[in-house]
Amino acid sequence: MVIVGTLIEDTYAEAFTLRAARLVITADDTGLARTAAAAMTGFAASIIGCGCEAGIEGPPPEETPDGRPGVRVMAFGRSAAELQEQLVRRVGQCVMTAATAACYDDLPSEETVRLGSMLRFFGDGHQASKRVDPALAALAGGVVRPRRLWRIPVMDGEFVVDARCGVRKGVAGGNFLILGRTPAATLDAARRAVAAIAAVPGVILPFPGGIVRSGSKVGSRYRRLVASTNTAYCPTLRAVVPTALPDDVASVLEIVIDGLAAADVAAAMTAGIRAACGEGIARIGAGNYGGRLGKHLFHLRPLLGGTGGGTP
Amino acid sequence: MSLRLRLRPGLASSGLSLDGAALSPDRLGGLSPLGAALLVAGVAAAGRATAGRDAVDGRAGSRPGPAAPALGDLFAIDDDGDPAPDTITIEGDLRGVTRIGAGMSSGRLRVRGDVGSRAGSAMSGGRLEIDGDAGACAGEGMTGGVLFVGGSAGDRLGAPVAGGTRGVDGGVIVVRGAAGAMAAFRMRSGTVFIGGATGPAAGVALLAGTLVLARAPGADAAALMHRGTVVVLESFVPGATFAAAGRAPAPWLKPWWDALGGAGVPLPAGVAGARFARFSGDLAEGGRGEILILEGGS
Repeated sequence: MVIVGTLIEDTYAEAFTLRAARLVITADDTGLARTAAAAMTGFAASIIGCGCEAGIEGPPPEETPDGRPGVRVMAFGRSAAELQEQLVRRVGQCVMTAATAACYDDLPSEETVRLGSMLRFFGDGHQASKRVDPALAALAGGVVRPRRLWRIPVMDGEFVVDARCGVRKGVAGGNFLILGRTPAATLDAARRAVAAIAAVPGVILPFPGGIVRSGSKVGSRYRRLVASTNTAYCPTLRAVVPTALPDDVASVLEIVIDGLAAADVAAAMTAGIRAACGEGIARIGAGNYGGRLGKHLFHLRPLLGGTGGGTP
Repeated sequence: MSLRLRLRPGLASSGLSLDGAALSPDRLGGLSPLGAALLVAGVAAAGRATAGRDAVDGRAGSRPGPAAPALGDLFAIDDDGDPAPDTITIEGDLRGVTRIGAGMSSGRLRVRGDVGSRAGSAMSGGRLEIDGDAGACAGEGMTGGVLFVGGSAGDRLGAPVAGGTRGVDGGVIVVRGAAGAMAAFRMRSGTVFIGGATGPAAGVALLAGTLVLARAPGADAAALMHRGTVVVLESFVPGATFAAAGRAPAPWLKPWWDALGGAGVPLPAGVAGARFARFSGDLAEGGRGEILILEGGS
């Protein structure tokens, strides 16, 4: 299968299940909200080394709980307990500290974890809660949902945060590889993919700028490392290790996608791959572990309307 | 099926005095007009059951005594064709009927007229809409649902039931007109909005919750409040036991403005982004409550 001169390999991306949370961070202006969101989702590229994966969701919310400008962020953790720990740390250190910012749950779910109900103790007894009860929410005609807010006194006024936030199963590790003929062409293609995915709701790209250059393989010659550089895709190693790179490929970049549902990840992969294809891009591939790691398999060709794939 | 109950002519002027606890969707929902007509008016839990009448529709209407009237003796009852289930409409001058909608937990009860005291007492859900005025103690001990009063409310709106320690503990009360003394007395949770003037001691001994007053309240407003929020949308000077604590927007109030706007309450333009003067108090009770006064309020 070829799209705009780029070969789509007959392969698949392998993704796995993590617990997901989705928050809306608001502030007096969009810049302040994005600053808080960027800080909160910093150092959250990989679940392996960061404790969680997090990022800013592309499309901003049309309406926020307090009516101010806001951005959506999502975070993914191994379990609800680990996710709670990460959220409390990150919201406490990066959102509560950010000028004018507030933080609201944006994922209605039966399963919830504590957030504001942990952070409230920063108020040293002066914190106050406000409950939007179901009757009040019903009066607003569905634009408001029941919640308990904590108002924590801070030096510029109050930090407002939801007492709890919803968590549910999400899909992490959706990916595709861009194999380019030059480093510049590869980077341009990756940027096009990131821009295209920014319009897809329900997904984040947890790595810096949405682009990964240090793809990994499972294991290492060093016993303490669980992952190491993906030697088969490193251009500088093609002469000394078994390589997956054709002769005309000079650079590889990866796009990693986490989403609320498999359909969201599939939509993002489709948009990103279509945007990446073009001049200077030899192939689009994907990372997988032979079907052993995750339950979600995204076959590239069927995603793009072609045939292929099947059981690995 | 939705029922319409019209008070029979002459009853109101004859000094009707009735405990109207049976007038709620919980009791009347699902009944046919005939079944409702045979239901005993008054305190349904008391007294002996009357075979024959109780058998209709399988409902457990019990009779306090042979002299107790049935609803059909007092109201002309028919199906008003409203497709919404569990909607009951009552028409007439019901100032002599107390406890209308008491204990209701679901459904919708509309009253076209004035009602007596204790309407919506201890209600936990559903919607009670009173077009006219409500007597004293409307919404007392309420824990959920929505109580609308299109006219004015009497004293002790949303106060505790007799012997109780908590007033409104959930739900929403919206009074378009005025309210009497001690509105939201010992309110614990939920929201009370009063569109008109309030008598003395509105929000007195407030435990928590949100009291929104469109007009400046009367004397001793929020006195002895423990926690909670009193929002005043008109220029107002709190009592001496409240201390000024700055001026700031309160964007977290947006759900309240959305809800009140959704209920058709006229709100000042730009209230969602407006600044409020904050007063902490009652300092005699620890100062953990607050009065928020809209800046630039008329």
